[in-house]
Amino acid sequence: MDSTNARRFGSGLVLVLLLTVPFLMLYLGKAFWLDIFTRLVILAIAASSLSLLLSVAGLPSFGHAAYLGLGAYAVGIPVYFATYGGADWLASYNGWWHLVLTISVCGLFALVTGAISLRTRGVHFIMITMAFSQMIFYLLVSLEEFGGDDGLSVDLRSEFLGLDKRFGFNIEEPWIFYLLCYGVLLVVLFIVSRLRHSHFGRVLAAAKQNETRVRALGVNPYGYRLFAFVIAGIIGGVAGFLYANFSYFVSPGMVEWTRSGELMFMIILGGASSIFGPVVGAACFVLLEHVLSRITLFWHLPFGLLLLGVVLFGRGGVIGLLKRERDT
Amino acid sequence: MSVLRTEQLTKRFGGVTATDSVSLSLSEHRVHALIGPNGAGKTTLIAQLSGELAPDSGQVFLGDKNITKLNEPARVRAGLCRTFQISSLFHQFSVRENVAFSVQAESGHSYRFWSKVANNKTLNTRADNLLETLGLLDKANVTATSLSHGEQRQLEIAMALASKPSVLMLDEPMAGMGAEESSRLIELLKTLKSETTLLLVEHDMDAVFALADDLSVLVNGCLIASGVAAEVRTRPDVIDAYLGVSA
Amino acid sequence: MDWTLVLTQALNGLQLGILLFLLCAGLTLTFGIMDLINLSHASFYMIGAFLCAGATLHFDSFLVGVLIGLAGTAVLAFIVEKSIISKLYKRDHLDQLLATFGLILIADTGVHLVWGPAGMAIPLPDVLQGQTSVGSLVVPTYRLVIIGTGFLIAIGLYWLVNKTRTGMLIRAGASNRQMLNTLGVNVQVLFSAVFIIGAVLAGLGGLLIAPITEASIGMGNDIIITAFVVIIIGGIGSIKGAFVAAMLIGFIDTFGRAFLDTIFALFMSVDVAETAAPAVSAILVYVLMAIILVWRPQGLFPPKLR
Repeated sequence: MDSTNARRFGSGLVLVLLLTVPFLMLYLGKAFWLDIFTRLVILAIAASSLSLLLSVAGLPSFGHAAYLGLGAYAVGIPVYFATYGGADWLASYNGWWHLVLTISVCGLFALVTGAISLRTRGVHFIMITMAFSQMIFYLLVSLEEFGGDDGLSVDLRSEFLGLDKRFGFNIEEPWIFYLLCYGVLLVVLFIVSRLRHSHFGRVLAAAKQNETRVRALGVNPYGYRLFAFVIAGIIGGVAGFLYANFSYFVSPGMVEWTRSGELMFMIILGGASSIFGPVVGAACFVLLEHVLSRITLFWHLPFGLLLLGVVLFGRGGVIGLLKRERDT
Repeated sequence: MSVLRTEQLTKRFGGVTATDSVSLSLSEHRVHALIGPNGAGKTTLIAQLSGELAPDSGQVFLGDKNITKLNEPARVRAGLCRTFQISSLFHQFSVRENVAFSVQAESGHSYRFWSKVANNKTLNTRADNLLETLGLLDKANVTATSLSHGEQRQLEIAMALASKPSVLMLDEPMAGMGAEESSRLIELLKTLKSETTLLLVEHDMDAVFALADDLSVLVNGCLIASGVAAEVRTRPDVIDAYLGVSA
Repeated sequence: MDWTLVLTQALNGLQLGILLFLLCAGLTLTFGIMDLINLSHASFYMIGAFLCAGATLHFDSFLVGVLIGLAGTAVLAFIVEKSIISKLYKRDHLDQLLATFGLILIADTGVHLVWGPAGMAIPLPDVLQGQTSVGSLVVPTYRLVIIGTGFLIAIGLYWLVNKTRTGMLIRAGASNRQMLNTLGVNVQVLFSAVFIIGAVLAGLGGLLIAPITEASIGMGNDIIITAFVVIIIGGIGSIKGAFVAAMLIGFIDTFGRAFLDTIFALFMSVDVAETAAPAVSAILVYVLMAIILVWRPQGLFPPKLR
């Protein structure tokens, strides 16, 4: 019971800190912390979606950054056309339209690539998910009209018609945008927690531990895994949708496989013991990155050493960390 | 009438014929024991019946339905279930969760995303009933790994029973059990006959003779004898090929 | 069709295929024998190039640069294998992946620390700088050197794997890891040797291409994924598969980029063709991978198991 209470306290503390610290910093005149926290919260959403695959279903997808990229371009491209003309059916500043695009594009991409990747196991699965995300990377690089390698500026944030006018909900305002991201994070955490403890989640957990037995009990895990893959892809896409709005900029760099590696790193850092693990991991990652990159140009070095250390000396390695999720 | 039947089931691995034109027939509500020396092809036969391995040639029928082309999960849903020679459990689940998941697997699809499965009364009650039958109810809340070997074997059977099989294949259920645990399991398996049909692969001859109504003998992938247990065990070729060596 | 262009592109395809093969040979062997998935292979590709660049500039000799590049890569590979990789053999693939990802971060920063953030060009000796005419075709001499070296290595590997005792052990290990123990082989030494050979081949790939593209930080990080695609298509653990798939990918990628717009223009407007072709050619090899996986999930030449 003690550990349950400690965990509840920890989770609550994380949520409260995320809600108070950036505003405290804003009050103290350090406005850039709001940016750091916005990035943190968006990456926490992405890491949470990946944890549904990695921690709950035991599927080591190494191409999750692809969904961030797709979600981001689902904002960038319609805004580009709305600003410079062309492709009338696509062009729009409407945030709801961007969201519909994000969900359908990411859902479809996850469905197709998942259907192929999930036919394989282990190292094949890792490499294939990696390859498919690299495919998106090269695809985005090849789109000369949208800046190719250099990416694309997003001139305005998505407009949420109705909300903006009726409630003065202007997401160009940084703190309102932060609250929006925070709200999305809460919703995502709630969804992931529900899924994890549902009938569906138990099938995923069982198939992660012993696929042979699951099949011998009359359940083919393929469909359930594919469903999880699609949900995780869509949530990853929503993170990308937010990221494009946050940075006013999208580029193929968001999809590089090292980005997928960083998302995994966050989950490893935060541990898989609760749904807040990815949030804590994203926080550690972003804050470390911020601090280290201010100290030294070579901040990737301590990052690499830390990753190596966690894997080599974290009890039982990564999987050991992931396995210690039982009592949630 | 036969509930499970194979016709000319053949499986080769390279040059080795693991099962050679095996035609086996199980009658309803009886215990059918399958015996044979190590390497005779018993486990390969079970694997082909369960759908884990595809036969090179031959057919499998469950009742009058040809299930040769069905995959493993589909066969289980059709009523053909198995246990494993080496206990195959969900090690991070509690004992109750192991059985509750097995019940969940039997009760239709699991595309249910919202309600908490741990609080599902239907699943937990049925799980607890099964655990009670197997005498594991007092261990319901511990993890599967912390059970003794014998208890794990019992959990294995509880999980298979949750699937409500019309035919249950038991791959060496007594393996590694003490004498007392074995005799308790024998009593339990006797009571199961009224609900299901059992195919029993077992090395423990006392258990086989205590339980088996019918007996088949597999040697080098060939079925050398199959029939009512009392008759088969007295046949001279069977005694030569197998029983004589073992006894 | 302009046949000179086709031939030139064929040489480019061959060159890409050779480079991919040099990378994949090590990857597929380390996976097949040690069950190790090794991202840091990309770093040896980069380090080979930088060591060669540094040494070439310092000693003013490309040949010395190549030798130092290869020797230095071997030494580094030996150290990394002993200190880190050897602890990963028994680990889960995800552990291996993340640990070697950590190694990439370290290697990228390490190169940055030693040689600075900018890329390094490698000057070629005059002999290699000119053009060679083959029939009516005029090609840069150095491309022929890359292709020739690659084929020599491929033949050498074929000989090593198929005709020597070490090769027999490697093959045995790739299809049945247990067997190595029962044969009484010193597994540690074999693993080290295979890892170092693989790393040196990756380094060779890097230093061969660097005079054309220049050595740059992270240069291996993109091509390593293409290398993964190659070994997935070829069948993980198979040298033959790696060679066939590397050539296949090399040609398809090169020809796709060069001729897809012309082909598309045959049945769509030139405008559409010019927009669609780069996008399609960018994803061509991945689509190929997907198709092959649907058809044969274990790749074209899966090593025989058991």
